[in-house]
Amino acid sequence: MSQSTLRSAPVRDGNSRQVGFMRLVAVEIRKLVDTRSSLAIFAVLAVIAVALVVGLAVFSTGQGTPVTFTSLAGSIGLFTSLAMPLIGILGMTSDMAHRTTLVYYPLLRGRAGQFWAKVLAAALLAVALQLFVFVLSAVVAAALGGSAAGQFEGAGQELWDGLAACLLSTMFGVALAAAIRRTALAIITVILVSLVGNGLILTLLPDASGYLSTITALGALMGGPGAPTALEVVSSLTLWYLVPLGIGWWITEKSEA
Amino acid sequence: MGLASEAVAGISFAGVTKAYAGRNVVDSVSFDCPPGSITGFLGPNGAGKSTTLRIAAGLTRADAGEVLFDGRRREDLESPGRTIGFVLDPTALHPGRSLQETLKLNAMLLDLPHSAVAEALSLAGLETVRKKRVGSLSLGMRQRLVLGMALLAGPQFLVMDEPTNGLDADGALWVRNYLKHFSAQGGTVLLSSHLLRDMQAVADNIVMIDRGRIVAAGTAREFSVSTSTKAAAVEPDRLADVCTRRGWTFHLSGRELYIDAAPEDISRACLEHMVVLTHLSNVTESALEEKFLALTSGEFSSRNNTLEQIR
Repeated sequence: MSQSTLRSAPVRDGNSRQVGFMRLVAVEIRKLVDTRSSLAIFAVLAVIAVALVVGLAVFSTGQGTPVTFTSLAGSIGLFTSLAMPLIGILGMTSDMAHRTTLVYYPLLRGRAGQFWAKVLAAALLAVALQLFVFVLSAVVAAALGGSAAGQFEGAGQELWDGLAACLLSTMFGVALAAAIRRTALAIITVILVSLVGNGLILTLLPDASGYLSTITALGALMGGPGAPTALEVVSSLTLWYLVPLGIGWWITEKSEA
Repeated sequence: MGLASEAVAGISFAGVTKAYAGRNVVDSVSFDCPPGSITGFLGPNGAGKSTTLRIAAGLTRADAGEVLFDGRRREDLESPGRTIGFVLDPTALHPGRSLQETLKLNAMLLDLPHSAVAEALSLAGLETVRKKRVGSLSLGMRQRLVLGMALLAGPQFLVMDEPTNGLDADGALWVRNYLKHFSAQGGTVLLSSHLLRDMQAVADNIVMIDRGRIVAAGTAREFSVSTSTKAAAVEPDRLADVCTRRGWTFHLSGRELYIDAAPEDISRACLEHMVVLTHLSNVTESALEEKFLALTSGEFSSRNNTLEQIR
């Protein structure tokens, strides 16, 4: 900023060029991984995933249990259910936490595009992490089982269930964070609701738990005789996903940045 | 300067009103910022300057009225980020990102070439610290970064809230010179500040706001002609007589006269009438301050406090 370098910023063409939705998504993905702290979080999640998969493989081998892709990928569901909401929360609250909405909102015509770009960015990153877990599980299973028959039996269903569970978990974090807008409070809420809330609902309102629990949709994915009804799934999704997401969208549109 | 209308080029505020808890913090604010000029938006703390600028930026929604850029609302522009450069709050930056990354994100969002980031870093004098994280920067360096971000896309309009806040003397001078240069190229600048020095140095037009209402508006010249020369004489009465004969308006303050005339004209007239001057100075710079103090009281003003109250 020396006095001798005084000159105009170059005038650029393209003032008629609107910011497309996919560009917004790309920016939001970059914002999720471009700081040391965010990279550290993803590195830690990746290390935990590796440790879990390898640990399970070693344990299963020690027990004489066959190690398959399905057993590995399916056994780290708890990790997925805790890690994925975290990605969703960070994706939704980072701008609010650092007040960077003051930077980004004036650049755009409206806020809705950025809100939904955050939702999609968090989902895409979560899917990427889930795919990493799948690839890791496949490599370990192949390494330990060789070309044994049945090593990858049921892999297609596991991939589908895993990705659906990943998206449900991520969107749970996204939706609550959208409504709460505070990183720490959203994390605490997700943990409390997941670990305590569901248990309380089951204890106090056993007949209505299917309608009120956060994990009804996950239960539907697993299927089986105790699988929830479609009405219970719709109720749970509305209560824990659609309503908070709608509240978050409304706040984003109406709030002062 | 006049009331805003839809067809006006530059930036137009038309009846902008915002209330909190039933109290208007911005009350029917209307003014124009003509293209190719710098409009100073002046007011004491809490006068409503920042709220008005936040409404222009789309961060706060007005209860009534609108802000137009070349006759179009910000949200109707194809790419507001390419058209308008905002300098708002330098503390609202992610502390974990590097300066370069912060600029890159904006460049990516606005679909600007990679070279734009290097140019903005160079323009703001931040090349040597581009890899530093924002959290480690001083307020002045953050202010430079925000300026770089505002200029990144080569905008047509600049809306700036206290842009020299935190800058060293060299940085503040650069900003003032840059704004003059920018407006000379046809750009429109709205510069909000409570620093009279900034206004005196650069503003072509001045809009004064107090308690949410515009209390004065005009060209910078209009704000500085009323008391342009301060003069004192051995015989003040004779000096006043000279002024009357010449048809100059003046007012007496103690033994000093504030005269609406150039110092050299007063000096020549006094020589002709054998009036001995003991003091003669151009007080153009203080005129704005006097007007500012006269027209604004400021909700948080301490001017009325007595020395005892302050103690």
